[in-house]
Amino acid sequence: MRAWYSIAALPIALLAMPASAQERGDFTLQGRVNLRCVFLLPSAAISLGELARGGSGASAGKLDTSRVNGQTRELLGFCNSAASEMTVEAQPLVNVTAQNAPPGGFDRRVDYVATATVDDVDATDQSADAGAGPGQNVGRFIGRVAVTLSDASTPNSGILVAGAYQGQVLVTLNPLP
Amino acid sequence: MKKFVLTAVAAGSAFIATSAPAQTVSGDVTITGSVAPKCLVVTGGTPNGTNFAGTIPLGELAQASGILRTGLTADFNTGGGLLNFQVVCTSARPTVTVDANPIVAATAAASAGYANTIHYNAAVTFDESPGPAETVQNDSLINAAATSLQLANRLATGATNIHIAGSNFRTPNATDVLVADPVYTGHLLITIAPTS
Repeated sequence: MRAWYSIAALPIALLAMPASAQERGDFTLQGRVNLRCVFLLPSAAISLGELARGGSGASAGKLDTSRVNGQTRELLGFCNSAASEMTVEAQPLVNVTAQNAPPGGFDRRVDYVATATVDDVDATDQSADAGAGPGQNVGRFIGRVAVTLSDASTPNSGILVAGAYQGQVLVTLNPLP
Repeated sequence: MKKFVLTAVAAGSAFIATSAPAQTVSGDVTITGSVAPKCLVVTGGTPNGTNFAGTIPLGELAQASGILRTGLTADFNTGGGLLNFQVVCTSARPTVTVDANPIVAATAAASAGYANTIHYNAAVTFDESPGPAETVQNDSLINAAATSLQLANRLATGATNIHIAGSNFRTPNATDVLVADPVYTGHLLITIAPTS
Protein backbone atom coordinates (compact mmCIF):
# COMPACT_ATOMS: atom_id res chain seq x y z
CA MET A 1 0.00 0.00 0.00
CA ARG A 2 2.84 2.49 0.78
CA ALA A 3 4.26 1.93 -2.67
CA TRP A 4 0.99 2.91 -4.28
CA TYR A 5 1.08 6.28 -2.59
CA SER A 6 4.54 6.94 -3.93
CA ILE A 7 3.55 6.43 -7.54
CA ALA A 8 0.43 8.53 -7.31
CA ALA A 9 2.36 11.38 -5.80
CA LEU A 10 4.13 12.34 -9.05
CA PRO A 11 1.16 13.52 -11.10
CA ILE A 12 -0.27 15.28 -8.11
CA ALA A 13 2.96 17.16 -7.70
CA LEU A 14 2.90 18.28 -11.38
CA LEU A 15 -0.57 19.66 -11.07
CA ALA A 16 0.52 21.55 -8.07
CA MET A 17 3.00 23.68 -10.06
CA PRO A 18 2.39 27.47 -9.94
CA ALA A 19 -0.32 28.71 -12.31
CA SER A 20 1.94 31.39 -13.76
CA ALA A 21 4.33 28.87 -15.36
CA GLN A 22 3.58 28.39 -19.12
CA GLU A 23 2.63 24.98 -20.27
CA ARG A 24 3.17 23.79 -23.78
CA GLY A 25 1.72 20.73 -25.25
CA ASP A 26 3.39 19.24 -28.29
CA PHE A 27 0.84 17.67 -30.58
CA THR A 28 2.80 15.77 -33.19
CA LEU A 29 0.82 14.51 -36.18
CA GLN A 30 2.45 11.77 -38.09
CA GLY A 31 1.38 10.05 -41.26
CA ARG A 32 2.77 8.83 -44.55
CA VAL A 33 1.85 8.20 -48.13
CA ASN A 34 2.84 4.80 -49.24
CA LEU A 35 4.63 4.18 -52.54
CA ARG A 36 1.99 3.11 -54.94
CA CYS A 37 0.85 2.83 -58.49
CA VAL A 38 -2.81 2.54 -59.37
CA PHE A 39 -4.68 1.81 -62.56
CA LEU A 40 -7.78 3.92 -62.69
CA LEU A 41 -8.78 2.23 -65.93
CA PRO A 42 -7.14 -1.20 -65.73
CA SER A 43 -8.45 -2.93 -68.83
CA ALA A 44 -9.26 -2.43 -72.49
CA ALA A 45 -10.07 -4.59 -75.48
CA ILE A 46 -8.87 -4.56 -79.07
CA SER A 47 -10.97 -6.39 -81.61
CA LEU A 48 -8.91 -6.95 -84.74
CA GLY A 49 -11.55 -8.61 -86.88
CA GLU A 50 -10.50 -10.81 -89.78
CA LEU A 51 -6.78 -11.47 -89.57
CA ALA A 52 -6.17 -13.23 -92.89
CA ARG A 53 -5.79 -11.60 -96.26
CA GLY A 54 -8.42 -12.29 -98.86
CA GLY A 55 -8.00 -11.89 -102.58
CA SER A 56 -5.60 -14.09 -104.46
CA GLY A 57 -1.91 -14.59 -105.04
CA ALA A 58 0.96 -15.46 -102.77
CA SER A 59 -0.36 -13.54 -99.79
CA ALA A 60 -3.87 -15.00 -99.87
CA GLY A 61 -4.88 -16.50 -96.55
CA LYS A 62 -1.83 -15.14 -94.75
CA LEU A 63 -1.70 -12.57 -91.98
CA ASP A 64 -2.94 -9.12 -92.86
CA THR A 65 -0.47 -7.15 -90.76
CA SER A 66 -2.46 -3.96 -91.19
CA ARG A 67 -5.08 -5.49 -88.94
CA VAL A 68 -2.64 -5.53 -86.05
CA ASN A 69 0.01 -2.88 -86.59
CA GLY A 70 -0.91 0.53 -85.25
CA GLN A 71 -3.74 -0.67 -83.07
CA THR A 72 -3.72 1.31 -79.83
CA ARG A 73 -5.73 1.58 -76.65
CA GLU A 74 -5.32 3.61 -73.49
CA LEU A 75 -5.32 2.66 -69.85
CA LEU A 76 -5.34 5.29 -67.09
CA GLY A 77 -3.24 5.25 -63.98
CA PHE A 78 -0.73 6.95 -61.76
CA CYS A 79 2.39 6.34 -59.75
CA ASN A 80 3.40 8.56 -56.87
CA SER A 81 7.02 7.50 -56.64
CA ALA A 82 9.85 9.24 -58.44
CA ALA A 83 11.17 5.81 -59.36
CA SER A 84 8.33 3.77 -60.80
CA GLU A 85 8.97 0.91 -63.15
CA MET A 86 6.69 -0.05 -66.01
CA THR A 87 6.96 -3.42 -67.74
CA VAL A 88 4.99 -4.92 -70.60
CA GLU A 89 4.32 -8.55 -71.36
CA ALA A 90 2.92 -9.25 -74.82
CA GLN A 91 1.27 -12.63 -75.14
CA PRO A 92 0.75 -13.90 -78.70
CA LEU A 93 -2.55 -14.12 -80.48
CA VAL A 94 -3.30 -17.83 -80.54
CA ASN A 95 -6.07 -19.74 -82.25
CA VAL A 96 -8.24 -20.89 -79.36
CA THR A 97 -10.67 -22.94 -81.43
CA ALA A 98 -8.16 -25.00 -83.45
CA GLN A 99 -5.63 -26.05 -80.87
CA ASN A 100 -3.81 -28.84 -82.66
CA ALA A 101 -0.43 -28.08 -84.15
CA PRO A 102 -1.01 -27.04 -87.77
CA PRO A 103 0.60 -28.90 -90.67
CA GLY A 104 3.43 -27.39 -92.69
CA GLY A 105 2.59 -24.12 -94.37
CA PHE A 106 0.00 -23.12 -91.80
CA ASP A 107 0.13 -20.98 -88.68
CA ARG A 108 -2.18 -20.65 -85.71
CA ARG A 109 -0.23 -17.95 -83.89
CA VAL A 110 0.36 -14.25 -84.47
CA ASP A 111 3.26 -12.50 -82.80
CA TYR A 112 3.69 -8.78 -82.37
CA VAL A 113 5.46 -6.10 -80.38
CA ALA A 114 3.49 -4.30 -77.67
CA THR A 115 4.63 -0.87 -76.54
CA ALA A 116 3.28 0.89 -73.48
CA THR A 117 3.95 4.60 -73.36
CA VAL A 118 3.77 6.98 -70.42
CA ASP A 119 4.66 10.52 -71.41
CA ASP A 120 7.81 9.94 -73.49
CA VAL A 121 8.88 6.68 -71.90
CA ASP A 122 8.29 3.43 -73.81
CA ALA A 123 8.35 -0.09 -72.44
CA THR A 124 8.16 -2.83 -75.05
CA ASP A 125 7.91 -6.55 -75.35
CA GLN A 126 7.95 -9.02 -78.24
CA SER A 127 5.32 -11.71 -77.85
CA ALA A 128 7.64 -14.28 -79.40
CA ASP A 129 9.84 -13.95 -76.31
CA ALA A 130 8.56 -15.47 -73.09
CA GLY A 131 7.96 -13.20 -70.14
CA ALA A 132 7.90 -9.46 -69.84
CA GLY A 133 10.23 -7.02 -71.54
CA PRO A 134 12.72 -4.81 -69.71
CA GLY A 135 11.33 -2.38 -67.17
CA GLN A 136 11.45 1.36 -67.77
CA ASN A 137 11.33 4.13 -65.21
CA VAL A 138 8.23 6.21 -65.78
CA GLY A 139 8.70 8.22 -62.59
CA ARG A 140 5.83 10.09 -61.05
CA PHE A 141 2.90 10.47 -63.42
CA ILE A 142 -0.82 10.52 -63.71
CA GLY A 143 -2.72 9.94 -66.90
CA ARG A 144 -2.61 7.79 -69.97
CA VAL A 145 -0.80 4.53 -70.46
CA ALA A 146 -1.02 4.07 -74.21
CA VAL A 147 -0.61 0.51 -75.50
CA THR A 148 0.29 0.13 -79.18
CA LEU A 149 0.78 -2.99 -81.31
CA SER A 150 3.35 -3.27 -84.12
CA ASP A 151 5.57 -5.64 -86.12
CA ALA A 152 2.95 -8.37 -86.48
CA SER A 153 4.11 -11.65 -87.95
CA THR A 154 3.47 -15.38 -88.00
CA PRO A 155 6.11 -18.01 -87.22
CA ASN A 156 6.13 -19.57 -90.70
CA SER A 157 4.60 -16.84 -92.83
CA GLY A 158 1.96 -19.47 -93.45
CA ILE A 159 -1.74 -19.66 -94.05
CA LEU A 160 -3.68 -18.80 -90.92
CA VAL A 161 -5.82 -21.60 -89.60
CA ALA A 162 -9.47 -20.60 -89.38
CA GLY A 163 -10.82 -19.89 -85.93
CA ALA A 164 -10.96 -17.39 -83.08
CA TYR A 165 -7.69 -15.82 -81.99
CA GLN A 166 -6.96 -14.31 -78.60
CA GLY A 167 -3.97 -12.59 -77.03
CA GLN A 168 -3.16 -10.27 -74.18
CA VAL A 169 -0.93 -7.37 -73.22
CA LEU A 170 -0.16 -7.05 -69.54
CA VAL A 171 1.19 -3.73 -68.28
CA THR A 172 2.68 -3.68 -64.80
CA LEU A 173 3.45 -0.60 -62.76
CA ASN A 174 5.74 -1.07 -59.81
CA PRO A 175 6.69 1.77 -57.45
CA LEU A 176 10.30 1.54 -56.36
CA PRO A 177 11.71 2.91 -53.13
CA MET B 1 -4.44 19.07 -20.64
CA LYS B 2 -1.79 16.58 -19.85
CA LYS B 3 -4.20 13.83 -20.40
CA PHE B 4 -5.01 15.21 -23.86
CA VAL B 5 -1.33 15.28 -24.87
CA LEU B 6 -0.85 11.72 -23.93
CA THR B 7 -3.87 10.70 -25.95
CA ALA B 8 -2.65 12.54 -29.07
CA VAL B 9 0.76 10.87 -29.02
CA ALA B 10 -0.85 7.52 -28.67
CA ALA B 11 -2.94 8.17 -31.75
CA GLY B 12 0.15 9.19 -33.72
CA SER B 13 1.79 5.94 -32.84
CA ALA B 14 -1.21 4.13 -34.21
CA PHE B 15 -0.83 5.90 -37.62
CA ILE B 16 2.78 4.83 -37.96
CA ALA B 17 1.86 1.24 -37.30
CA THR B 18 -0.54 1.09 -40.28
CA SER B 19 2.04 1.64 -43.09
CA ALA B 20 1.77 -0.83 -45.98
CA PRO B 21 4.31 -2.08 -48.53
CA ALA B 22 4.61 -0.58 -52.02
CA GLN B 23 1.87 -1.69 -54.34
CA THR B 24 2.36 -3.20 -57.81
CA VAL B 25 -0.59 -3.08 -60.18
CA SER B 26 -1.34 -4.56 -63.59
CA GLY B 27 -3.36 -3.38 -66.55
CA ASP B 28 -4.73 -5.76 -69.13
CA VAL B 29 -5.39 -5.17 -72.83
CA THR B 30 -7.20 -8.12 -74.36
CA ILE B 31 -6.71 -8.64 -78.10
CA THR B 32 -9.08 -10.70 -80.17
CA GLY B 33 -9.26 -11.51 -83.85
CA SER B 34 -10.56 -14.18 -86.15
CA VAL B 35 -9.86 -16.03 -89.35
CA ALA B 36 -12.89 -17.10 -91.30
CA PRO B 37 -13.05 -20.42 -93.13
CA LYS B 38 -12.21 -19.62 -96.74
CA CYS B 39 -10.45 -20.87 -99.82
CA LEU B 40 -8.32 -18.57 -101.95
CA VAL B 41 -6.50 -18.85 -105.23
CA VAL B 42 -2.73 -18.51 -105.04
CA THR B 43 -1.47 -19.47 -108.48
CA GLY B 44 -2.82 -20.82 -111.72
CA GLY B 45 -4.68 -19.33 -114.61
CA THR B 46 -5.73 -15.85 -113.80
CA PRO B 47 -6.07 -15.67 -110.06
CA ASN B 48 -9.01 -13.49 -109.27
CA GLY B 49 -10.12 -13.81 -105.71
CA THR B 50 -12.16 -16.97 -105.58
CA ASN B 51 -11.81 -18.05 -109.21
CA PHE B 52 -9.10 -19.73 -111.20
CA ALA B 53 -9.19 -20.69 -114.84
CA GLY B 54 -7.11 -22.22 -117.55
CA THR B 55 -7.40 -23.29 -121.16
CA ILE B 56 -6.24 -26.57 -122.63
CA PRO B 57 -5.92 -26.28 -126.41
CA LEU B 58 -6.37 -29.61 -128.20
CA GLY B 59 -6.14 -28.32 -131.75
CA GLU B 60 -7.61 -30.34 -134.58
CA LEU B 61 -9.82 -33.03 -133.13
CA ALA B 62 -10.51 -35.19 -136.16
CA GLN B 63 -8.20 -37.44 -138.08
CA ALA B 64 -8.15 -37.71 -141.82
CA SER B 65 -11.09 -40.12 -141.86
CA GLY B 66 -13.21 -37.64 -139.92
CA ILE B 67 -13.42 -39.64 -136.72
CA LEU B 68 -11.88 -38.52 -133.45
CA ARG B 69 -8.11 -38.55 -133.64
CA THR B 70 -5.95 -40.44 -131.22
CA GLY B 71 -3.46 -38.85 -128.90
CA LEU B 72 -5.88 -36.50 -127.19
CA THR B 73 -5.03 -37.87 -123.76
CA ALA B 74 -1.36 -37.15 -124.24
CA ASP B 75 -2.09 -33.73 -125.68
CA PHE B 76 -4.39 -32.91 -122.82
CA ASN B 77 -1.90 -33.93 -120.17
CA THR B 78 1.33 -32.71 -121.67
CA GLY B 79 0.36 -30.30 -124.38
CA GLY B 80 1.22 -27.15 -122.53
CA GLY B 81 -2.18 -26.44 -121.12
CA LEU B 82 -2.59 -25.12 -117.65
CA LEU B 83 -3.07 -28.22 -115.50
CA ASN B 84 -1.74 -27.21 -112.11
CA PHE B 85 -3.17 -24.71 -109.68
CA GLN B 86 -2.66 -23.66 -106.11
CA VAL B 87 -5.55 -22.96 -103.81
CA VAL B 88 -5.25 -22.47 -100.06
CA CYS B 89 -7.98 -23.00 -97.53
CA THR B 90 -7.88 -21.73 -93.97
CA SER B 91 -10.20 -24.46 -92.74
CA ALA B 92 -9.45 -28.14 -92.37
CA ARG B 93 -10.78 -30.78 -94.76
CA PRO B 94 -12.35 -28.72 -97.53
CA THR B 95 -14.93 -30.31 -99.77
CA VAL B 96 -13.97 -30.57 -103.43
CA THR B 97 -16.24 -31.12 -106.38
CA VAL B 98 -15.35 -32.14 -109.93
CA ASP B 99 -17.75 -31.94 -112.83
CA ALA B 100 -16.57 -32.83 -116.34
CA ASN B 101 -18.74 -31.47 -119.10
CA PRO B 102 -18.30 -32.79 -122.65
CA ILE B 103 -16.50 -31.00 -125.41
CA VAL B 104 -19.27 -29.84 -127.70
CA ALA B 105 -19.56 -27.97 -130.97
CA ALA B 106 -22.27 -25.42 -131.58
CA THR B 107 -22.98 -27.11 -134.87
CA ALA B 108 -25.53 -29.88 -134.43
CA ALA B 109 -24.75 -33.44 -135.36
CA ALA B 110 -26.41 -33.66 -138.75
CA SER B 111 -27.58 -37.23 -138.64
CA ALA B 112 -26.69 -40.73 -137.58
CA GLY B 113 -23.01 -41.45 -137.90
CA TYR B 114 -22.00 -37.94 -137.01
CA ALA B 115 -21.12 -36.45 -133.67
CA ASN B 116 -20.58 -32.99 -132.21
CA THR B 117 -19.71 -34.24 -128.75
CA ILE B 118 -16.54 -35.64 -127.25
CA HIS B 119 -16.64 -37.21 -123.85
CA TYR B 120 -13.74 -37.73 -121.49
CA ASN B 121 -12.83 -38.69 -117.99
CA ALA B 122 -11.36 -36.05 -115.71
CA ALA B 123 -9.13 -36.92 -112.78
CA VAL B 124 -8.30 -34.11 -110.40
CA THR B 125 -5.69 -34.78 -107.75
CA PHE B 126 -5.54 -32.72 -104.57
CA ASP B 127 -2.28 -32.62 -102.62
CA GLU B 128 -2.87 -32.64 -98.90
CA SER B 129 -1.01 -31.85 -95.71
CA PRO B 130 -0.32 -34.37 -94.45
CA GLY B 131 -0.55 -36.67 -97.44
CA PRO B 132 -1.36 -38.74 -99.28
CA ALA B 133 -3.07 -36.91 -102.10
CA GLU B 134 -6.59 -37.82 -103.10
CA THR B 135 -7.97 -37.98 -106.65
CA VAL B 136 -11.55 -37.24 -107.64
CA GLN B 137 -12.76 -38.60 -110.97
CA ASN B 138 -15.73 -37.56 -113.02
CA ASP B 139 -16.68 -38.76 -116.49
CA SER B 140 -18.61 -36.41 -118.73
CA LEU B 141 -20.80 -39.21 -120.03
CA ILE B 142 -21.09 -41.57 -117.11
CA ASN B 143 -21.47 -39.01 -114.34
CA ALA B 144 -24.30 -36.65 -115.06
CA ALA B 145 -23.74 -34.96 -111.73
CA ALA B 146 -20.59 -33.69 -110.14
CA THR B 147 -18.50 -35.87 -107.87
CA SER B 148 -17.82 -34.49 -104.40
CA LEU B 149 -15.37 -35.49 -101.72
CA GLN B 150 -14.42 -34.06 -98.37
CA LEU B 151 -10.65 -34.29 -98.24
CA ALA B 152 -9.07 -36.23 -95.43
CA ASN B 153 -6.72 -33.38 -94.54
CA ARG B 154 -5.90 -29.79 -95.33
CA LEU B 155 -4.85 -28.75 -98.79
CA ALA B 156 -1.07 -28.64 -98.98
CA THR B 157 0.61 -25.25 -99.13
CA GLY B 158 3.71 -23.88 -100.74
CA ALA B 159 3.27 -25.26 -104.28
CA THR B 160 0.60 -26.14 -106.77
CA ASN B 161 -1.78 -28.53 -105.06
CA ILE B 162 -4.46 -29.21 -107.67
CA HIS B 163 -3.49 -31.28 -110.70
CA ILE B 164 -5.76 -32.04 -113.63
CA ALA B 165 -5.57 -35.03 -115.94
CA GLY B 166 -7.85 -36.19 -118.74
CA SER B 167 -8.32 -39.57 -120.36
CA ASN B 168 -10.66 -41.75 -122.42
CA PHE B 169 -11.58 -39.11 -124.98
CA ARG B 170 -14.31 -40.55 -127.20
CA THR B 171 -17.32 -39.81 -129.31
CA PRO B 172 -20.66 -41.50 -128.52
CA ASN B 173 -19.78 -44.09 -131.15
CA ALA B 174 -16.24 -44.85 -132.08
CA THR B 175 -17.09 -44.60 -135.77
CA ASP B 176 -18.80 -41.20 -135.51
CA VAL B 177 -17.54 -38.52 -137.85
CA LEU B 178 -17.07 -35.19 -136.15
CA VAL B 179 -18.99 -32.33 -137.65
CA ALA B 180 -16.92 -29.40 -138.72
CA ASP B 181 -16.90 -26.46 -136.36
CA PRO B 182 -14.22 -23.92 -135.57
CA VAL B 183 -14.83 -24.17 -131.86
CA TYR B 184 -15.43 -27.24 -129.76
CA THR B 185 -15.64 -26.26 -126.11
CA GLY B 186 -15.78 -28.26 -122.93
CA HIS B 187 -15.64 -27.28 -119.31
CA LEU B 188 -14.13 -29.03 -116.37
CA LEU B 189 -15.52 -27.39 -113.26
CA ILE B 190 -13.64 -27.72 -109.98
CA THR B 191 -14.97 -26.32 -106.74
CA ILE B 192 -13.14 -26.17 -103.43
CA ALA B 193 -15.30 -25.16 -100.51
CA PRO B 194 -14.07 -24.48 -96.96
CA THR B 195 -15.53 -26.49 -94.15
CA SER B 196 -17.21 -24.21 -91.70
